[in-house]
Amino acid sequence: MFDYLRAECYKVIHRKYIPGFLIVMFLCEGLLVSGWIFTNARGNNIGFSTGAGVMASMLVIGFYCTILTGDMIFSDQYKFNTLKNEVSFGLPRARIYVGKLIVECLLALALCAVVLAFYLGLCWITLPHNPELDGAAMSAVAYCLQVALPLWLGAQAFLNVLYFLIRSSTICSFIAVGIFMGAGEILKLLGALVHPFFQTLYTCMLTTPLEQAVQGGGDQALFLHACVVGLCWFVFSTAVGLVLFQRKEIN
Amino acid sequence: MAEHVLSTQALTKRYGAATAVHRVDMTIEKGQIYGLVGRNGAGKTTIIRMITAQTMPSSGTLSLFGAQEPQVLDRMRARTGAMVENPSFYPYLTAKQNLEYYRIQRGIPGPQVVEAALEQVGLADTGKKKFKHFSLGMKQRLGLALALMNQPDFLLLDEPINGLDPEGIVEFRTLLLRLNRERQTTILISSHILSELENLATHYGFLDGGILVEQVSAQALKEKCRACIELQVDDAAKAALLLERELDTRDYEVLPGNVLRLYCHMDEPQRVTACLVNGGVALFAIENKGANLEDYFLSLIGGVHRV
Repeated sequence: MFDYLRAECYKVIHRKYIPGFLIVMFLCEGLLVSGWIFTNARGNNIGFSTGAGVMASMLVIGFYCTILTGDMIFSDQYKFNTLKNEVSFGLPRARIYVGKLIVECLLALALCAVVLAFYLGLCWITLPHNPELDGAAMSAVAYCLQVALPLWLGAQAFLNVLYFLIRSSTICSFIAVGIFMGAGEILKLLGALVHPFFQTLYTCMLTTPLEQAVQGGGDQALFLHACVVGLCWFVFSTAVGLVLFQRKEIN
Repeated sequence: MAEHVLSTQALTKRYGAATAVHRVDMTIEKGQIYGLVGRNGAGKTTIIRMITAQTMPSSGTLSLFGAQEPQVLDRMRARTGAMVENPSFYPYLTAKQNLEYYRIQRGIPGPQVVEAALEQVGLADTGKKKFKHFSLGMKQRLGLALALMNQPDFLLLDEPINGLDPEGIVEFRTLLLRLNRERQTTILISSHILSELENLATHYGFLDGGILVEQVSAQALKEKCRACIELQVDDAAKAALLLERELDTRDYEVLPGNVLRLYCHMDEPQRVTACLVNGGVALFAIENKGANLEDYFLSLIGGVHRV
């Protein structure tokens, strides 16, 4: 397994995908922060606490980033037909599946750390400080991040099963965006209009605990709920993916 | 007893109602170069794909180096090298990077094996050129380099010379023969270019409609295809005596049904006919026989219309 993980790391390091992704993210963050610098120069007072607080509400973007981190590792294997090189050598399919998932999760965590550190660092350097507000903002961000991490990992496992079972990465992306963006809202609506069961389903969606955390959750119960939801998505997706990939035709 | 590198028993693959491979019993022994011959859709690639775990058999068994259990089979697959259909690599990586990726993944020690494999197939100087910019022939060579990188005991090649230029084909043939001779590498090779197979194979398997019609050694096939005059007579024993006495030859063969095959005097059919008829043998038919692999294959599957 270690060799498999090393090989995936070797591949991803030799792609231009990661530098490209980081440049785009840094540019977006730079634009956002420079907008605040610009308004501050015109008399506004947007401080570090506001900048950091905005980040909490932007953590939902992390769900969509799992589409990219999944794609960075899975690398359109069906399009390029490279999976056959792996199975024909006798690599167990479980190792292939789990190996890619592990590297996707590690990569997602590493990129998350880099992107967040860059944003917070930029805000820290360029925006005015207020020690009391800054402390509160940082603990709110830390809490939201704590809630988001298990959910992101659940989302990553879900994306992995899509990439392994569906030949088109475009269709995978559409399904994932539909689940992350639309499914929760539809279930919420159905819960209100049709049956409370849909409301229960809504609480099991990946995006729900993070929405609640951003809206001012702050308690440990919500964090535990996020852990359970993330773990369930992770385990269920991985189990389904492993079973179906075992019998999948590679052609 | 020779070691069985591959053996299949009643190996079958169905796709819905269609049967791609039907109860194939195939045996390949160590050191053989086994040519798999068949029309498009005969099941050649499906068999290779089952051996390489790209698709699962619907029924039947498959054993590699004597192992049948799935987990042991996977370990045995690490002793194989395969190039199935078109060579597939990551387009944004160079030849060296692609091979290095698979070397690490497969746990093959020593980065020098990548250089050696590239050298072996003549791709050592491709530098920073990415796979997506390779010609078809270069892609084939890289596919072969991957198959050879782990110094396999059993090499599976599906249409390997597609896209190679004439020089490349000669190099490829020389390389395979050298591997077979020096390292006793067993090779399973499918190709539509039967003349090329003739230069390589020590054994043949003929597939038609998913059924393995015949397995034969190159030596036996050569015998079957040897040029001769085939004579249908009323009394084969008497005809044989006449041939020996009048034409002074024993280079003939008596087959069931009063058929004789005469392997000399090919350019004197009139003399042969006269010898038999004058000796009182009734001659019902006389025909020049003899074929190459292509003719034999066509006669076996019954015509050229679908090849």
